[in-house]
Amino acid sequence: METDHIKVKIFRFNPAAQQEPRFDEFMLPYAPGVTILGILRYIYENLDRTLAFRNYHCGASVCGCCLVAVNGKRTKACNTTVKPGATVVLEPYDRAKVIRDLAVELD
Amino acid sequence: MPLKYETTPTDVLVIGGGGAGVRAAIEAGQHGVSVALVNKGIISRSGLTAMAGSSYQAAFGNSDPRDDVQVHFKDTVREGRYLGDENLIQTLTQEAMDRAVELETYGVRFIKENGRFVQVRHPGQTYPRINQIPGRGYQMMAALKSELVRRQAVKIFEDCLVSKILTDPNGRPAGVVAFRQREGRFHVFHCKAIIVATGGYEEVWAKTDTAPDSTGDGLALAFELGADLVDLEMMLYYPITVVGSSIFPSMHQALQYELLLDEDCLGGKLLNARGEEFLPPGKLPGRDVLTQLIVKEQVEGRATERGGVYIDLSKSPLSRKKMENRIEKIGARVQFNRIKYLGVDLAKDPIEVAPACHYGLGGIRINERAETSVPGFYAAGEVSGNLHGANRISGNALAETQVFGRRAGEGARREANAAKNFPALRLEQVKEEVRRVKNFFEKKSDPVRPVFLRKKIQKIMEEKVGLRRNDQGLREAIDSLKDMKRQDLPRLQVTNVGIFNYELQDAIEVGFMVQVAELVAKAAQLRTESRGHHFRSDYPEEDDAWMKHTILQNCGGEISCTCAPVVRLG
Repeated sequence: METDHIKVKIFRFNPAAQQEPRFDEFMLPYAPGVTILGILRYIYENLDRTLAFRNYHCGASVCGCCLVAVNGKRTKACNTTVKPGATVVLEPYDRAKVIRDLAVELD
Repeated sequence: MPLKYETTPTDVLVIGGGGAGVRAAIEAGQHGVSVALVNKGIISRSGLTAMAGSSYQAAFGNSDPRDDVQVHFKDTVREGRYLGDENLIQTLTQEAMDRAVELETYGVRFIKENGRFVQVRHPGQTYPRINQIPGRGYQMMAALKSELVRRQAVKIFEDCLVSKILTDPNGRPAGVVAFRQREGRFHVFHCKAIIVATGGYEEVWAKTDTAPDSTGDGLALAFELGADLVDLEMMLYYPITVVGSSIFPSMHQALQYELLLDEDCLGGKLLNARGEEFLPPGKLPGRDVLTQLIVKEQVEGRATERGGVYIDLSKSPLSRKKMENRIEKIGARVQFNRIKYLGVDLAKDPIEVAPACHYGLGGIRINERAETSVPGFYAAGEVSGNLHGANRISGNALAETQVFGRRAGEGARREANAAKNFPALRLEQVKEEVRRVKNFFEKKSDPVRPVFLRKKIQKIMEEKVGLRRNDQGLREAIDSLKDMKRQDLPRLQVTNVGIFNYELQDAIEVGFMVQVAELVAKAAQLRTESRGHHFRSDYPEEDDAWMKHTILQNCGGEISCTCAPVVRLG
């Protein structure tokens, strides 16, 4: 795999229409400092407009609206960076109900 | 005839769940008055208060006994470049303390010693007056939300997009049409009074340090309703924000420059691309002045390619050890932590910074009771427009949310109580709005995505209605925006997903943005002077004759532009 790219596998699920979730794969260019939230925005803008996720809010690791699981670990998408050549698996934050894809109901 | 859409009758409807909206809902939801609060995202994880810094200004005079309400009033009038209405400033400065104490009862934690507020001085303040919330706006919002939920008097609708204010045959607000993202369906609210608290319009520009949902929704809705909009040309720039990556979208995070640059704090240096200092000696300048000093470096070719300059803490006279101690003492650690992920150690690495849109000074014109020019329609917080003037000192925004949020809630509650009947809902209006939103899903022959139009608006605003404006550029911007309304908006097409369709939110927001952008450009064209955060290269001086408001209003679909005097006391 090229080191100037990032491979992303994303959990996709619409509870209203589907029985089972699936994973979609995307290849993205790498740029220094890129965060998971930057990746999600990039996918929405350039690769798949149907992706459901919570967009930037504070962008400063505070509000937690972008909580997500990256490679099985709960984290905030806005301050989690990715290494060149990495493969990342993105799943919804597991302590909340899924609305669709990575968008969940949060308190 | 019953509506086929779920309809919620409520005495008072609050649009927006930031600091002002939640405070308004708490106040309105008393004495048996029913209240619904509709918010575009999740309360405390959306809106502008949740991303605010730690500063709440109120003249307790705890750190310097010479400080009082009068000094706070004078500082605010002067630093607003004499464009803030003094009745509003008086209200703000008189009530900010009571509202802060009230916030403490909700669970907001301020830095205190021996029961007294530890206050610090920020640029533009004669004495230390900033009361600090170490958990920042987020902790303030979390506490406000807990209080709101605890009272159980308010129905909360999150992830709910308001797209239209409905009116009765007399033009009085009667409710709204909204789209519930979680369920993927329309919802109608029918009410006696509306409080709009939707925050600012920073997202209309490309470079902002605010959340992407600050799309000026309340301003566009208010314009359509016929409310007076005031001083929209005044967009406050925060001078020091981190210049982000160019490939991936990211925010221009603000770094609190007082903490980093003040000699009594960390004593860092602000350097241009050549490594030269360019700040004049003496006290740190306010936001408008510092922004224009950086713009001067840009214009004269001494900034980076991306228009940036550098903050360099390694040039501070403090030793590393002393700096570490100072960082803890002044509560600056969060400034370092929030950019750590960029691989930057602020204590030793220079960081590229530039001004970005931070706070909408202009907005809906209100009086001291948070009433707008439309009966039954209230506004509070950043969406209102005549409080601060042409510049805002640190800490007045969080105070504003509480002072005017409470007043709007009180006014709307009284008005709803006094009204015997609900205003009439016009079903054809509901149907028309539902048809308009549904049309976003319809196939177009030459479709355009909302994200494309969003970027187009932002480009126009950055280039022609940004830090330096002139008549020709403004005229071109207005023409382009009018073209967009006519040619691009009808081509908007979104993906056909019902639940949590981000593109649908994008499309609704883009409609608001293009309207707000045009209004801002019009107001900027009208004000032929430079004042505060409005800089005209063709009128570079402040002009006393322009110590007045620009007022924009909807006249049968056209924008009427007039002026109004600033309210003075005594």
